[in-house]
Order: sequence, then C-alpha cells, then structure tokens
Amino acid sequence: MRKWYEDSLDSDIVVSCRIRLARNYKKYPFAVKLSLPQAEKLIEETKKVLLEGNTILSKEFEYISVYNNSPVNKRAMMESHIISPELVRKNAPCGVLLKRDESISIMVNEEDHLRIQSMAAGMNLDKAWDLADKIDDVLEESIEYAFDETLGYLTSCPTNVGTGMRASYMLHLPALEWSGQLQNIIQAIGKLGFAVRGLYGEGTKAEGSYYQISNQITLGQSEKEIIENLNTVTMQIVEQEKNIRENIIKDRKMEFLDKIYRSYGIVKYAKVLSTKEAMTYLSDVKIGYEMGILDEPKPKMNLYSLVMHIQPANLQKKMGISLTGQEIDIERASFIRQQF
Amino acid sequence: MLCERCKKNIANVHVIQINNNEKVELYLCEQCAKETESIHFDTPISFQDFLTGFLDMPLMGKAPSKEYSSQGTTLQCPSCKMTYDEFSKIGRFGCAQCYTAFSSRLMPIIKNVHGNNEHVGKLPSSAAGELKIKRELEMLKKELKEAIRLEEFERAAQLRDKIRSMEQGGEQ
Repeated sequence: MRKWYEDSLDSDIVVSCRIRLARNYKKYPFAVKLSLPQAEKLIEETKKVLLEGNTILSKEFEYISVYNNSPVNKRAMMESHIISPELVRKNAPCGVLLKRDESISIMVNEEDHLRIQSMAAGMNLDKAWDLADKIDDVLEESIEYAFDETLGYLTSCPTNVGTGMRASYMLHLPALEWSGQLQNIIQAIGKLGFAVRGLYGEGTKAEGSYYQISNQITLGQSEKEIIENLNTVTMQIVEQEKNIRENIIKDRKMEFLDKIYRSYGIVKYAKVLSTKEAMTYLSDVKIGYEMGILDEPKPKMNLYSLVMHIQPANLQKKMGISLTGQEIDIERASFIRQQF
Repeated sequence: MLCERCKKNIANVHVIQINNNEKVELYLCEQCAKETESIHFDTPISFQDFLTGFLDMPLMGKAPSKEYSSQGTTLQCPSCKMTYDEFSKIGRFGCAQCYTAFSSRLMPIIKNVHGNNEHVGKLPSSAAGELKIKRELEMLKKELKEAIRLEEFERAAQLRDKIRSMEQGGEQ
C-alpha cells in the first residue's frame, strides 16, 4: 500500500507535518502509576474500541506490540516516525495501532495512555489535524477521557495539558544551518512558544539538515490558533531560508554548484556510506532539486522516503539478516545507487 | 566547584537528566557539556525535564502557602498516593486526580509554563453540554462588544437577543 511519505515532493522545503494528541483514560492511573496488568488491560480495551468496532476504521488499522517486538523492529518503527524514541525505551506493555498507509498511529501506553499521531506530506497541518480530530472523536465515543473543564485534557506531564496537542513541521534548512543563523531563529521562536528539534524529535540531532518545529504551549490557545501560529512562524522561516539561498547563488554560485554536483556524484557511485555521510550528501542533492540547480533525473524514491529507508534498522529489516557496521554501510551505498 | 566529568575546569553548566524516572544532576564545564551532547539521544534532556527545575523552586516572590508549610512535604494525591515531592522529581503525575490534589502549588507553575491556565480548545462530547453553551455565550459576548465598537447596531441587537434567549434557556 502506498505510504503517506511517498507523496513528499523533493522540491519542498516543508517536508512533512504532524499532529499529536495526548489523551488519557479517566479510569486508569497515568503511566508512572499504572500496574502491568492494568497496562495490558488498557491495551486490550483500546484495541477492542478501534479494531472490533463496526467502523471503516477497524479494517484500516492493525495492532503491533512494541513491548514484545525485536530491537530491530522497534528501532525501524522509530526511524519511520511511527513510534517515539520513548516508546522504544519503554519497559512495560506498550504498542501501536497503525493505519496501513502509516499516516496515523496511535501509541498505547507511552507517556500518556494514548498518543494519536497523524502525519501528512508537505505543508498540510489542517489535513493532519482533521484526521487526528476524527480518530479522537471515534475513540471518545467509547473511552471516557481524563478531562477538566478548566484545564482541558489532563496529561501525564503538565507541559501537555489543555489541548494535549503538539503540531509540528519537518523542514529542510541547510542554508540557515550553514550561515549559522539558525541559532538566532531558534532563540527568537523560543520566545514565541515554539521549539526546534532534530529529525527524531526531542533530544535528537538534526541530521541531513532536517529540523522539526513545534508548539510548546498547549493551554489557552485553541487547536486552530496553535496551527495558524505555527503556519505563520514556519512560513517566515522558509522565507529566510530562501533569502539565504538567493544570496549564496549571488555570491558563490560556482562553489555551491560544485558542492551539489560532487555530492550527487557520491550518492550515485559510492560503495560505502555511513548514515551520517549519506544524510549529508542526500541533503545537498535535495537542496539542488529544491533550487532547480541540479539538472539530473530525480531518484526513483523521493528523498525524504529515502532518508527513512537508509537508517540502520530499516536497512537491516529490508535485508532480513543482521549486519555488522561496514556491511550496513555497503548495503546503504548500494541501495542509494539503485535509486539514482 | 570543579566539573564532575573532567575534574579540571570550573563547572558552569548545571545539567539535569531524567533517566527511567530518576533525576540525575551533573555540574559540568562548558566543554564537557558540549561533548556529552552526543549522548542525548539515549538520555534526552527535554523541555519536560526542564520543568522539574521549575517544580522544585519555591513560588517566586511568595512565601510558601500556609497549606503547604503546615503539611510540609506531605501534599499527597488521595487516589494514586503520589506525593508532591515525588511529582516534582519526575515531572509526571500519577493520575488525573493529582491535578486537583496539587492544585495550590500547581496552578502558578502551569501559568508560568503556558502563560495561561484556561483551556479554550476542543471539548469531548461527554463533557460538552453546559460547557459548550458557556463557551458559545462568551464568544457571542465578545462579538457583541466588537459589533458595538464598529457601530454595527443592527448586528449588535441580533446578538443581544441571541445571548438573552440562550441565557434564559439555561435557567429553565
């Protein structure tokens, strides 16, 4: 089945967007006080609501246990953004209800009982919100949520209380990164209640110049307001990224073209590539396509999908065997070559 | 104080990490703090974790409330038995009732974090009813003020009638 990220366009600076809603059952204690039998019961109950209900949804979703899964499978799901790093580390019954095109995943027993996550390609938060909102409505028909008239949806951590919503955009910002101006932006938007994180969220590095921008404030603003504000901030960042790109072309065109084409040569012909190297060169190639200055055929798979496919666990899973460090790097180079 | 890692330079970075719900505090020099950044993936320092720093602090500019000082550190949730101390260490509540149990200390902190302490977003349909009407009334009153400001008196009159009928409906 076609996955949501296959719709990503190589020409877009805004690669993807995501809505995450934190929800908790009223009748169960939160994660830190949840006993193992309660955790298991909560999973069964949630599965029943979604999979055994008489809705179209029941056919579109499947349940995958994370707790009982292999380390490679867990990591691969994280690399594809289906689950969070926190769920990978979790040492208690937990899992994920996944829509077959991977656009919606509902993590069960993460920091909150339910984390409804909806993803879409490009600058499409309204669509992602719409889908998450609908799933939330369906779940709420059968589940009584922990909700307070004043504070809104009650969450395990007070930083999520209210809407329980985190909206985010994944942006490709190599020029801002090179120019060193990203730090200023991070500080400036921090004051406005937005945070910048790496490719895999909290605490991760921004490999391949991918950055996630998300709201921090969840109380006192409606979901629509949060999304509108994030849209505004994101458009400003994209504008700044474009300005710097124009300046680069003005001042150092040949140097820049040389860099892009060298990177293209490497991804097309290299025999051994580490994740970090591959991410860097693919980022150069992507900016080449984004700016229309790389006059070469596009890869078979869009570059954002490719970034997910070349992560270590996803590669191992594809090969079906466990590989050592260098074997992975050889497979990665080979896989990338086939795309160009 | 010397950096706990290299034991050479003066420590000027205070790092608080939460590992498996346990708080680890480190005093590092700038160099070591930078170098340890690479380990963040396994032990991320998150926005949430900074919060626990907030929770430890006495309320800024205010003496601890009587309720708190008389009970000492025994502020406890009657439902899940979590104490405020436990909560301030891990930054996570034990259950929904903790919000009520810790309310006196919590509300100023929530206001600090979000700049607000009233939810205006989505409502679950189970909680709807009265709350939805209340929310709609507030919105209509805002619109009414705006209409008066813009001297759109015809619209203002319509809004006023609508508000009146809704309020009367609520009383019945």
